[in-house]
Amino acid sequence: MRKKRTSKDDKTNGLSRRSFLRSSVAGTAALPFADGRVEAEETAPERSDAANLIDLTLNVNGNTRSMRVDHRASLLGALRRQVGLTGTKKGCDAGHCGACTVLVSGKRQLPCLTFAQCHKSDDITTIEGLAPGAETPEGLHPVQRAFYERDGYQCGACTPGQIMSAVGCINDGHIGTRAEIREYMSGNICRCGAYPYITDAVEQARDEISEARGTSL
Amino acid sequence: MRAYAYVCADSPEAAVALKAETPEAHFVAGGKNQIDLMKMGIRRSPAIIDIAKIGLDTVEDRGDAIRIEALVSNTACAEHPLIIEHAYAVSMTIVKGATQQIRNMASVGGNLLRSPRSVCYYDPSVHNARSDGMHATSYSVGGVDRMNAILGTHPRTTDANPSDMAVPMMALGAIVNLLGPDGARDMPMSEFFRLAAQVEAEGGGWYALGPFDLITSADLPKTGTGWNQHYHKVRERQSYAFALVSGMAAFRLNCGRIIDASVAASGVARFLGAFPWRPHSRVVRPRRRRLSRRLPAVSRAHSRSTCMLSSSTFYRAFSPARSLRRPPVRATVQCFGRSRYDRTGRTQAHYRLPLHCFSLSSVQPNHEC
Repeated sequence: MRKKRTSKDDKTNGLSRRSFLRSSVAGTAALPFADGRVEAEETAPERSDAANLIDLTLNVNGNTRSMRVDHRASLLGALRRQVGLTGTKKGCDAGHCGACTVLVSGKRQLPCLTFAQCHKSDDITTIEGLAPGAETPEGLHPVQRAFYERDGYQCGACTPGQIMSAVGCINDGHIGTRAEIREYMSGNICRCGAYPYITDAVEQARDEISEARGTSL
Repeated sequence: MRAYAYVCADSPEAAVALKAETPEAHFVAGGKNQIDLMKMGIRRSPAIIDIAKIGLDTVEDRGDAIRIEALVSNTACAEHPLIIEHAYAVSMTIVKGATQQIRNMASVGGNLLRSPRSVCYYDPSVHNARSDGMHATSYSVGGVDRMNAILGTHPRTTDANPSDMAVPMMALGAIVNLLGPDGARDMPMSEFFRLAAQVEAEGGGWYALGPFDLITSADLPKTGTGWNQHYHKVRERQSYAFALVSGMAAFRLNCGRIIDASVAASGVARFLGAFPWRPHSRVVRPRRRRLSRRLPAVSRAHSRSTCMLSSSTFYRAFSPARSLRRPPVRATVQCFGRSRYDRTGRTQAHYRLPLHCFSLSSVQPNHEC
């Protein structure tokens, strides 16, 4: 297995990339590189009128999260900005790429094409909720571990979506053959073209999960 | 996106009442089409009525028909045993459309109202005479676009209906059930979708929906013994793409002879173009060579039919009288498609290219006789 950077390594640097990004999102006004796109994306709710803000409570990864959010916010926007779970990626924001896939009541859905306020009573699982607090590859969810071991990614931009989609796909049982996996994972676009390895990873995860459950999937 | 008022309905009746209060509001169920259009500024809804929690999410057996309620997700519909047993083509078309994520969100009722996919529909600067985004009265005109309609176009529109799921429903003669302020009513799906000429002459929208109506369910007649169904979809990639053209054919066989047939096409016109095709049984002559193989189960019979490319016209399927004089065992239904390489600048309505077609060869009798 290739040596990969773990979250432990990040922590030794004092400031991880993720915590840096998160802190810069919180203080966008002081962002040293006020890139137009980032700013527009991340500060939009602050600019909206108070009249457009609503109080909303979402159930994310088993935790109840209350927030004040623009009523037009997509579920994706609320998860990333208000809840701060930036593992769910914003790709096309139009339902084409699948990078934002999350599980809503156990079924994979696209949070970019749904309003946050429509999901008050749903259980939402994001990539952060698969194996909370995992420090090592061994502690990861079988699908995460399979992606890690099988190199099911290159740049990683689509990977959270791919992993959530694979979890949903395995739950649904559409994983009999490689062709079936490819068909049912076709909503997730990988611009690096890591599809063969993604398929390998889903197969490995399927075998592992079915072994753990003692049934064939 | 503009600010909008949001209300959540808890029953179908409440949803209709809310719609009657705010006629310009839109219903949101799965939301994906509606929210996509709202994000792009194409549909400017001042209010939305969330109908995701009003129930209407079961598939039930009603004797001679299967009732699919409007908020059944596409996934649930495609995987329902009743649908697989009695209307396999519906399951087949749903699985060929979109992706599992989208199918998990999309509702059956919303799918019937799928907005067109032409470039000018999605471009606010091109989209002509958009009447404040009411899906029912949107028009897009002209442009050389592979997603445009090629049949049944009208000077005021070249939009095509991109739905997959509605095609077998149309071919199998589904009934759409609506709920309005004055109570429930139903209509055949062939009346539900209106022709461009009809819209032009009589006014109104693309769907025979009243301003406050809610689709509550679709009744799909059970196809009895002897039906073969097949859906063929031509698209730019193998998965997750809208149909350039798609067609569905259902044949009822008895002793190797076609005694009943129905076809429908999608992606070619705003109207789905379904024309039931019912020959008189007296005209049907016995074939000289009986097909000897019999299939064990009806609903899976389509899987033995093969698809192949050949050349002929879609019109044959559209002109019933001519084609049925010689009832074929080997039936061919062909579609005109659009060429994505069309650089001539001519409108697609005048440039009909026989691009793809499908053939139900080797349809087998599966009826004990």
